[in-house]
Amino acid sequence: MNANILKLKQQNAIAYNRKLRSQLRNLHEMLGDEITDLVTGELGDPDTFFTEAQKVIKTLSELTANLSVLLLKVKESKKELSAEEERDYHMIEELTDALGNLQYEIHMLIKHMQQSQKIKTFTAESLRVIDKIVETQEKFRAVRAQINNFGYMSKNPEIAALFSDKEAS
Amino acid sequence: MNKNRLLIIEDEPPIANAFKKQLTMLGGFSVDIANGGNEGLEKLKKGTYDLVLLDIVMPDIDGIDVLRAIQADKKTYKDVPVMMLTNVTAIEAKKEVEKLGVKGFVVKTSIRPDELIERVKEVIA
Repeated sequence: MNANILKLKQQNAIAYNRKLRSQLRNLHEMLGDEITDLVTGELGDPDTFFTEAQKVIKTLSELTANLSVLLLKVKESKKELSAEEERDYHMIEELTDALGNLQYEIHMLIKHMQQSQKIKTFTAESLRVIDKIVETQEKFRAVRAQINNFGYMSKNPEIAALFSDKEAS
Repeated sequence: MNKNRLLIIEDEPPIANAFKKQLTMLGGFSVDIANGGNEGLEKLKKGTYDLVLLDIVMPDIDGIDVLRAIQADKKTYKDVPVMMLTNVTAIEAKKEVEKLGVKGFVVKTSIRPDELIERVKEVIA
């Protein structure tokens, strides 16, 4: 592994974790594309929503699982986290909670759609899904702001270059 | 050696494997994994477990329906105690599973390994 990346990871095993960064990038794209489409487009059409929502849940589930496992591994590998690491840990923990709750709301909406064809039920519950999507996006923005402060999705070209995809681990 | 047998019902293999590792290596438990609600219920019919660790959102049948099935047929499922192991923290979900008699509610990323072992031992005791 690049010696500079190793040094940064020793400072903060969460902020400079390449795998974590990659998962957050995937989530960023998803929050911008599939989930927003779900709200702005498919929510008006139950049939399309049902199909797309199931794909979204599957992807969210994998992303959340990967983030959770990465956090678990960080805690296992270090007896004590620094103050910075604790802060980042809790921020990402809140994000995984938001993702878990978003999955739950979409899942419950699909479940009720399967059990009932009542549009009234769909409309009322779809509003809860929208609330959870907004909440998740807000949590992600908070994580992204923190990430930029530590520079690993950085506007600082030198630090960004360290974590570019061309760097071999 | 701890002879207690646990069943993790969780559809994401990385999560299931991570918790199995903690529970076996740190707690000395014997741990099986089911990758979904239906598989979990099948394992419960065929085997005997001291505790189930159950996720909520799963693609085939979700954790809430697994709980309902266990509650509805205590003889078949041996009235096995259940602890939720989930990323869902929504109050509505907690209330729903509490009504169905869960013995605990653990958030996956919040719990330390030693705390998890302790919580499991408390329920089994």
